[in-house]
Amino acid sequence: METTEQTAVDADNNRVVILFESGLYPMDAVYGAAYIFIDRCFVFLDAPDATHVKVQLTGREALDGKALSSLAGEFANELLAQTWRLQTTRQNMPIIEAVAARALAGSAARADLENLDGLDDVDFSDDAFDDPLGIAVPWEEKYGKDAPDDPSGEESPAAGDESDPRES
Amino acid sequence: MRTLRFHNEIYFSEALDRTEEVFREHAGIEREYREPYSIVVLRAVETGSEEELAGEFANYALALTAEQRKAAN
Repeated sequence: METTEQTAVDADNNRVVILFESGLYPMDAVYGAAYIFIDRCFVFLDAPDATHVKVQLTGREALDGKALSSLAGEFANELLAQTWRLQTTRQNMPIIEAVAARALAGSAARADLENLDGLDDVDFSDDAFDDPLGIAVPWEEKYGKDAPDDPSGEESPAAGDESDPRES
Repeated sequence: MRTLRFHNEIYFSEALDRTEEVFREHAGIEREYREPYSIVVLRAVETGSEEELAGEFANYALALTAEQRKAAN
């Protein structure tokens, strides 16, 4: 077994054990790194005492000492990356929350009914509603039925004529 | 037979419960508590590597714990 201060490679049992101080890395980072490695190896965590965390990585396939040592190094790198990412996220949390709050407040904004001074500047004249094509004229008004007391008794074109008057 | 010791401050009890449910069809499972550990004894139902079964059990429990911890934050 090859042992350093922090890692112990046990090639006979196809595993490497990493020991580090728990105060050095947040547990969320440890879980994050372990989660990434579970598809490559069997990961087992332990707390041998109050100040240390032990990570045991067992290869899914047979690995030699060099590969196990490399695995431990990669785990340590991932642990550091997770720690840094966590720290960055925590530092930026006030900004993220402020941006999210502003976005939500903007989408849920209600009209300020007490401050309608801006309405004086709005042009409500008929020019804004100029309708040269008669689009705004209701269909009934444009092609409406004849009066019901029509003595001829014939149906009005609007009711009986199958051709669409709008096509004329 | 394989024995696993899950530290109670690292592995959530709910995660171990769920893992035990999932693996019950693949292994005979006995569990007991010896503070600060939950001791899990696995006996593979089918012929196969108990070591692999134990590894998968540990991975599953760890993944569930990590997910539950993330959801709680």
